[in-house]
Amino acid sequence: MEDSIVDLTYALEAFRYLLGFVPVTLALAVGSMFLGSLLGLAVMFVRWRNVPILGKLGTGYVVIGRALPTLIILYVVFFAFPVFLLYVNDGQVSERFNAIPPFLFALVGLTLHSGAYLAEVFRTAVQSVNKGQMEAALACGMTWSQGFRRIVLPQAAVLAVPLMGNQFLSLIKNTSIAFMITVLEMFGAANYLSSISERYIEIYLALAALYWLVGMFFETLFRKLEVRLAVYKGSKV
Amino acid sequence: MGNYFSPEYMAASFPVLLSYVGVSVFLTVISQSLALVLGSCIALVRVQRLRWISNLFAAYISFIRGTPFLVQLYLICFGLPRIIKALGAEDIRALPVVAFVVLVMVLHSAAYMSEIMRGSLESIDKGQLEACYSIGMTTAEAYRRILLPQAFRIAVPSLGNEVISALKSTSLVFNVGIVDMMSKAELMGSYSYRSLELYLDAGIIYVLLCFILHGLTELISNRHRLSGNAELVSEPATER
Repeated sequence: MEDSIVDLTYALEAFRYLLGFVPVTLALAVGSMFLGSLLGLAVMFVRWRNVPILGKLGTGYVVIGRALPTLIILYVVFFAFPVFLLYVNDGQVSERFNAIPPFLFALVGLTLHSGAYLAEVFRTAVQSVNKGQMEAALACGMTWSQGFRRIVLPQAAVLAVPLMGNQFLSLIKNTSIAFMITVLEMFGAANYLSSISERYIEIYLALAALYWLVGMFFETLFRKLEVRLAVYKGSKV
Repeated sequence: MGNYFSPEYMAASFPVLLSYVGVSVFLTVISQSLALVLGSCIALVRVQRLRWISNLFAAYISFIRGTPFLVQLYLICFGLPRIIKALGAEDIRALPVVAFVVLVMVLHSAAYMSEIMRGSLESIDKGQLEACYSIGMTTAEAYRRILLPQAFRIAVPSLGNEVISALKSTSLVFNVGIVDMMSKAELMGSYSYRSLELYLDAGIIYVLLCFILHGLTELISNRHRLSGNAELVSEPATER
């Protein structure tokens, strides 16, 4: 063990082991991206249309959600749930809490985190579309939702897709924080492995390489998607 | 109804956690000042298009941007001491963990800041540099006196975002043994079983710090607002 500083064979071994946890990381990232997008869209709509109370709540959520470190959001979700259960069951110690996989808490926490950022992304995207477009759609006799779906959305998507891509890439990296609420994803697995072998350099280099590769894969994917969406560009008045 | 959530405990622990805020602020200020210098240097090298050194920096930036902060933190704080030891240093305990954390934060933020600075340097009209040459300035003078001041002005909002995200990432450094708000909250929570109250406190402190930093950024960018026809590139708000 003392022979060399970096044992490449071991690094490769660690890489193979960590590869098995890529699906967990991706499930967490894709799941919270999907739910975060729904949340972000909802928040964007209530803010855009100035829904009385929800609009203000949405703004508060976006401001605070973006200022909070991800770890604190995860911790608050993780620790608030048992307290909530105690209230519901009025002090009965509940077995149900232990049955909930920590993955779900991480999913909720990361959704709340990315929802705040995505709400801003969607707002920027929708605001970038000229107001006249919607007015013209309404003048043609479309309903508001038709105008949004057929006219505004495709144009907003051109701007939103690269930003959503960035958000997804940073979300993949942020899933590493989920190991702190005991989710066994890529980082958690690396942490476990290093607690046994104490070969930190090899393990974390392998882990870094894995994150890097996963990130690059999605980056290429998004770039291709961007090229496809470019057809909708040039529709500016 | 039992006393499951205690606002009194939350209020009582707030000042205790607040007394540790200096650690996070210290780490942010030190690392971000160094990162700004390093990042600007990297950006300057990269806009000169010196081929191999530029490629080297590109690889470094890609690595930093492609991997989570947490991985970089563990790699350096747990891995680097081993390398130093293997290279023959006897007493690595003499190096405090803070030094490693500052190193990680500098390397991390410098990569992002160099991209910001490169973007703003490249957004400046080429004619500016040509004008500098035409009145006899050297390249170094031109950058120092004409181009960099403009680049910094353009970069202020983005640099501010970077500082804010660095501040947020200090919430992770307790993992490698820094005693800060988060480790204090963890410790107090293990005695009182009231972690929720403690982390809400920590959350409030972080949000306040972010607001202060955001306000400072606005103040600086308003003071140095570009006049006239210079093009201000406003980036839409995304997480990096």
